[in-house]
Amino acid sequence: MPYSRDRLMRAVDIAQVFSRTRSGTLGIISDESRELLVSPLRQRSPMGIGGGRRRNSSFGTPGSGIRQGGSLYQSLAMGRENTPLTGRARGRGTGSVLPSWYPRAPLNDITAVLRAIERRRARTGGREGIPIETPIIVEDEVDVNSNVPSGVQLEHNFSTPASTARLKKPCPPSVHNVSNILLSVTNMDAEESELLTPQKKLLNSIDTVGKALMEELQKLKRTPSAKKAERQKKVRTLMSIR
Amino acid sequence: MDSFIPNRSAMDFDYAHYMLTEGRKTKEDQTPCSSPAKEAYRKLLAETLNMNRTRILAFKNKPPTPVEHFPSGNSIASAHPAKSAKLRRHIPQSSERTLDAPDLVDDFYLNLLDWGSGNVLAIALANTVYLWDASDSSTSELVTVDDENGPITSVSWAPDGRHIAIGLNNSEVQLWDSTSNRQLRTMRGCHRSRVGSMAWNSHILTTGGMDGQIVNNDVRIRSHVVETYRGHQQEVCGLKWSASGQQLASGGNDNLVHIWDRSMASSNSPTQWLHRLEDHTSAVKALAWCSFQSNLLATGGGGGDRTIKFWNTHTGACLNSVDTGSQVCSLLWSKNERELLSSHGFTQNQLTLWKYPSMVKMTELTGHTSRVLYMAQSPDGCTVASAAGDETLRFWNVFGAPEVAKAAPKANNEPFSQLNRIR
Repeated sequence: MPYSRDRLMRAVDIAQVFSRTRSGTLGIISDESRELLVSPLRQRSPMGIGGGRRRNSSFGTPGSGIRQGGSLYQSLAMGRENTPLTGRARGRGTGSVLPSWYPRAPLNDITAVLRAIERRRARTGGREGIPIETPIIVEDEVDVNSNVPSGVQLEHNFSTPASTARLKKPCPPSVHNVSNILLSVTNMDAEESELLTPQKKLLNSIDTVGKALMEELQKLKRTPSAKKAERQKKVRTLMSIR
Repeated sequence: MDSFIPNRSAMDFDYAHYMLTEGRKTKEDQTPCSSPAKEAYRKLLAETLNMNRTRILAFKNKPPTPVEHFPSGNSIASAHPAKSAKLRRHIPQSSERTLDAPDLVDDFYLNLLDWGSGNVLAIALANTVYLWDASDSSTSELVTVDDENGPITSVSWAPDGRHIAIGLNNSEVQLWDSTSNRQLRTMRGCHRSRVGSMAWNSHILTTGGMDGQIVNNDVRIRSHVVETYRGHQQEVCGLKWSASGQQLASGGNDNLVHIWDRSMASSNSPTQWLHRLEDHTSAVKALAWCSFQSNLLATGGGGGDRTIKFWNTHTGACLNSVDTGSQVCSLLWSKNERELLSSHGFTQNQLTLWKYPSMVKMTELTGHTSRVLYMAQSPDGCTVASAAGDETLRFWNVFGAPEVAKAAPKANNEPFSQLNRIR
């Protein structure tokens, strides 16, 4: 429900409602005035007001109810003109030109982003032809650092061999293992590319990278210096509450 | 032949004499106390009498003076420079602006985009209607409907650019006031299934449903159903009133186009159609009444038809048929020129601009990666907004930049004709 129902009995200004009966030059008769004027003894709070909201926060929370409703309908789009014969692939978001990690917001201006993607595609599309790289490398060029969630920064650090030279932060040697993993994933996927869509490949590689990252973090935690630092922290906490 | 031998017959000797002798004198005569008005007048006078030439010698022949036997407003001589300006109009090949449209439903039978006369664009994304004010590029949300009632299947601005009708999947139609963000009424019972197409005719909102029914709703009265048009057997996906409001064109999934005339309205039974046009072999969603010829209608066929057909709606005759090669999703006539814009699906998902009546392709605009299902035109007639299943909303300056749209000043043969008094 977009807004909660107000159950309080409130006095309604009939004169005001009457002046609002007809809206604008079109003279549309409103439901609310009809009900109130027909039964003057029953006084209810006005309905239908505040239906509109101004929402300026970013929209793209995945898994929200509205999104699910839309995609459910989408899968049911029937009719001769909607058949795959017209070339439209099934599935949500297959036609979307934006990378999957890009935050979506209704009517957000994406002119600059798309132009950057096009430029990048024109440049790297011929050379390497590996779809996985595109979303990771695009981050480099596009100046949307303020909008991108922190999770993406992680991806950016674990770069593919092609952009290893452009790493912004100095990374420990263990991180290079991850780039090796990416390479192997890329090579593996190149063989079975007909079966997997670019999106699936990307998801697979994201999973692999995620696993590798967790392993690295665990390794780092287990080093003696890390353990010492942790122990010192615990001691400090205990001393402070003594 | 290039040479530095001047052509005596092309020279203006009077002017040459003046420039060599009197011209300098006038400059010295100017006193500092001459008023700005005098200066302006002097300048304007000089300009009009062609006194600002710096050259005396001429090397080419004088251009032949145009001979006008029958002087008229639209003479060839005056139209010629305007025509070459038209030919040179540059149409940008890429969209001027692209907006994100997440969850835009990719369904051929819906009409989710409309640009109101108040210069506000309305677009329905799943269960929500968003308004985009073109004057300041601001976005606002008008309404979000419940999952069980939605998604929204059509949006249509009233002629006043303030009120907006929203058709839902559950067959209801809501009326909203966009200035106060208030819902005014909900119209139920006119359809048995989703309302995919709508069109306004002053206070009448005509709705077309998946049930094949077309209903005229008078929004001013309680019992809003005032007329029904029965003729379509399947979903009504295209609905457009002519500019005069006298005729209504409807297109359906049954491949039929009907022309309904207000003069045939009856109060007790469904109205019979004036013409039933059966030439298309696929669903007809794209309908557009010509802006410069009142009884000319353009229709576009779906994936199995792919043609644009032109009709005389008085006689019902088909004037022309053009094969476009791909599904025609939408049609728009230019308000400024004799041009027609069509939007297409597989494979190129392009917008094609045609010259009318020759139907020569002027340009093809690509950018969308999915079929361009929805199109709307700005109130000033210069910009077109298109939305597709690739979840983008693009703006194209296809009908000319706003400056070009202003009427070009007519060629004047008389000096001072634009001034109504001298001094």
